[in-house]
Amino acid sequence: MGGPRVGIPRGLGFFEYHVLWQGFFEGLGVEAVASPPTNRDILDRGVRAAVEEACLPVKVYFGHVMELAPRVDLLFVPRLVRMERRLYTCPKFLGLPEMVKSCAGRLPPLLCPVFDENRRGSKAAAAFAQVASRLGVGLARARRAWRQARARQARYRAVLAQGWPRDQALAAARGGALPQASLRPKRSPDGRLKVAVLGHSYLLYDPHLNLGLLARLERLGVEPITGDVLPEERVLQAADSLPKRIFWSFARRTMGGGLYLLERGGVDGIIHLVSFGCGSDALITDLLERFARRRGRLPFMLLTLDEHSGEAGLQTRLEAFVDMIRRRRAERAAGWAG
Amino acid sequence: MKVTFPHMGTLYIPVRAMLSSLGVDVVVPPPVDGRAVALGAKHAPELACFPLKVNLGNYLLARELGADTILMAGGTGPCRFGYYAQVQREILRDLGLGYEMIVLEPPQGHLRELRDKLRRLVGRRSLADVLRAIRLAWSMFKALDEVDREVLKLRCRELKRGAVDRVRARWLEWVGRARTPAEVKRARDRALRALARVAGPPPRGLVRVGLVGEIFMVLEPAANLGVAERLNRLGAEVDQSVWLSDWIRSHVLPNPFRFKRLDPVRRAARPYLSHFVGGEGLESVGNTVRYAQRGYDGVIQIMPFTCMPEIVAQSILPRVSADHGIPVLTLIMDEHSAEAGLQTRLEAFVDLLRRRREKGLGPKGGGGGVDSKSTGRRRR
Repeated sequence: MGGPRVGIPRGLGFFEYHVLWQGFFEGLGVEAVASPPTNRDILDRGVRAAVEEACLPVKVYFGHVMELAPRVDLLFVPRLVRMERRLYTCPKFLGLPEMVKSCAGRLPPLLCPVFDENRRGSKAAAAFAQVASRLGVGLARARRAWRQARARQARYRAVLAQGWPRDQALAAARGGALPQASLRPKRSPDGRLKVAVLGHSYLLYDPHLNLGLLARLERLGVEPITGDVLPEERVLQAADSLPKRIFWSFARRTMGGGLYLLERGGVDGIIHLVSFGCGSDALITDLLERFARRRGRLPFMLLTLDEHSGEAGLQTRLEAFVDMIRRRRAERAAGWAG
Repeated sequence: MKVTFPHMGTLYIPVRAMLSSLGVDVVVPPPVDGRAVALGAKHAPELACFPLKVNLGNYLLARELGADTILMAGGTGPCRFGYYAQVQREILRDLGLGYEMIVLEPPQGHLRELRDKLRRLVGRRSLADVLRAIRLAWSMFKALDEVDREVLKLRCRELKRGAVDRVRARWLEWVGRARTPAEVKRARDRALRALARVAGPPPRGLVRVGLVGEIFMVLEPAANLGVAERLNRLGAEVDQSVWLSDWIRSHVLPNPFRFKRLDPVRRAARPYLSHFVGGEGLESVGNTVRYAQRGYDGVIQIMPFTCMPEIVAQSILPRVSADHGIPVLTLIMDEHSAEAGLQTRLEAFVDLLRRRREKGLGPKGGGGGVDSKSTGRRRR
């Protein structure tokens, strides 16, 4: 293709919407490339570019932008305002395009559609049609691409919710067939420990940022249960049982997952993964810790990531946490036997 | 029922007047000081923003004075302020304090919610009584801001040190005693006349500084360690872009800028930030542009550590500063901020502005400079 190349930074909203975004550009016939998974260099460059007070995910996003900048003609930096009605992402998502422009040095032109789902997607569709027109694609084709990308995104979500791993969900969303349901990885048939890991998708699914947390748990013989495989409806119900609805999408899901698990059990412990400097989590973590303490049943651990997080420290804390859960379990078993 | 509420600058005067005129038993928390800050910081989440901690300190100290109900405002995001009351309620509960909380905010469901809350507060008062109380409070909000605008301009010109603040202290007493909007106005005029009498001509080397930032940090001198007064004492005339009466005008009263594009602050911000980001983030950017256009020598942004909207503004202000050639200083403050460090930085900043003026680099000349180190701790 001789057309322009669009770069999509692999950070923040990417982990929620990459199927939608990449599907859309594909439907337009425009080449779109994502930045590589986070690495040391990307993180370091982002940290240097951002103001010190910015949160870790924003800093690493800057790094992805800078990584892509010399290799693409346009940068796709959407303004994610609301992913669902009346709920915001967060102020930094709202000001992201301008923060990028101000901090990340010399950049190719930005494509910054306002993604606001407050009014049933109508605004987002129009914003993406504008993106298409800047790329020289007509309205009819843009609309078709948008519809198809939406459908693909919905299918991806649905398959994920059935408990399939992300790569298989991605293949299925692209039109591939799913393997038989019986091949779906079963959860802990062997009585392995299960630990829920709650946190924003851009931390959970960026293994460099979270220092390979999920794989580490597996190696300790623990099955990590991420928030997005919990039954969505029940999770949101649990979140909305609070006197006031939480008005940030990510935080509401974290809180809902936590409350749901505190209520219903089904896991042996909860790890809450947060990044230093995350404003909404600074409040949500405190509340969730209080609720966990009041019910007093499930071990709860807060894991705060920043650019100085070390692997050794993380490993020690995980081992101690898992040991504690095992000991509790053994004590309980002994108690019943006696 | 003994009702208390958080401090924010002179907020307590109109709120106390409004509630007492409706027969509510009011407990004003002791003025914000080290004790309130330490108490709040001890019990609040470490990385919560500073205003939440100070509020909490206010509640705990008001409790000692017998308060049992908290009147607080809420919001719908994305700034964390909208969720303060929820977090504070759970903290107070875990401390074993059975505080009742009445949170005034845009109702999530029915307007009835809001009405029921007001009923709980004022009982069966007539609508006329309520409106009269609101009118009294509103006249106070406006007058307090009018006088303080003058104070920030005239303090650097006072003929005898402390004269302006003595007038201001008397004024706060007068307005606190006023029972009608007419009395408020009379007291205001008296205060303005008295201020004019104690002020002399502008001092030599006068510079003009604009203040932008998060509303609580700008309005509560005990939280910002008296930034405005310190600037005045260094010979700077100060203009504040955030005022309580303006906030009420744009958030509670019908908005005159229904067509948001007409709002001059948003228009000024537009080349740098074209979307709201919650709190005062957009206003901080827009007002910095406007200060540059109006020929101010420099701008100071005040924000609490970890403030989400102001971090967005902080990231963008270097561009505004470079484009308009106006120096911007960002002050990030919380319970760890220290006076000595702040004073040094303010002196250096005012010095810089003065030297730029002498070199003819004043407003709209040459490049700007940005210093955005925090005053207190930077990391844990």
